[in-house]
Amino acid sequence: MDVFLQPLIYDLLDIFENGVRTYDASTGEFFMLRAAVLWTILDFLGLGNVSGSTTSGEAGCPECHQFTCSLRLGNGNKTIYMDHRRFLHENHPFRFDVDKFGGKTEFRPAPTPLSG
Amino acid sequence: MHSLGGPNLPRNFHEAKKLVKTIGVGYKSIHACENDCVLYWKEYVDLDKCSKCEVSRWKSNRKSLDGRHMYKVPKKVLRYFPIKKLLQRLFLSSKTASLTRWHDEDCKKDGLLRHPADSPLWQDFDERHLEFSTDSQNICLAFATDGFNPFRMNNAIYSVWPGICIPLNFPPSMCMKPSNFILSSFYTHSW
Repeated sequence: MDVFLQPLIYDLLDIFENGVRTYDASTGEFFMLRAAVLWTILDFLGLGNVSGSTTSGEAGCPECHQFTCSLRLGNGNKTIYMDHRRFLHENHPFRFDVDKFGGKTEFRPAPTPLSG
Repeated sequence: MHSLGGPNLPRNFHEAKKLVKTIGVGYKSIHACENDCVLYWKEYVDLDKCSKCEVSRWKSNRKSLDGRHMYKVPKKVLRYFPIKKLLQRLFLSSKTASLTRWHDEDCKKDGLLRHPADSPLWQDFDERHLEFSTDSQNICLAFATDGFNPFRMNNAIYSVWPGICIPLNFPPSMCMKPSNFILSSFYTHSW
């Protein structure tokens, strides 16, 4: 899908670096117009399409990437994502709570998102 | 088109197309591989097969009766609206041209969030790219895309994805209005 954005990105890079000679009707002069993309507005499906990262399956979270904690439900045929205790701070009582969280403690830190 | 009025409307389809071409809102058709591998542009313009997955670019190999001419219908087409012309069009009217400087000149700067220009990201971007931010006519864009099924075809095996650029320089009354969105590309995505 990100293939389809090639012409747009090619043109936008050209505009950002070199600019386009543009006539300004309010002042009556030519100037070099430049443009930059600051934000993208997408839903989760669109994010997968535009960025090229996976948004389903074993490593379905683009933020946690390879450290995504996924679990396949054998009878439900679905992938679920658990272990949210990783995102609590280090000494949170939930991290030591064995009874309510399936008999396990959690000492892993939150995964660092990819940069760039 | 509405401002042209009745008698000034183009007489036929050919004239209408000519008018659209002069305004600069036409599009380029760029053929694409069926499996979304490559676009057939630049060095791949003349290819008949995808270089990665070797799937043919055309729907059929039907030839004309004398065998000289081949009917070439592409499998997948990307419609690309050249963004340079669309951005230049913002400056053709003196009203919109002066409003592109709104985010720098008329926007209140008291730390409250009213407009994307008040956000820390925008200010950080301005500080990092000083040559960009010194000319307040330079346009900051947001890019949005989302798929939909055309003609309410709920069992369609593909969806249509418009890619939309939104110029954020304008005041809040114009900024996120559908009439000010710039359609930049238009493609289909099969599941």
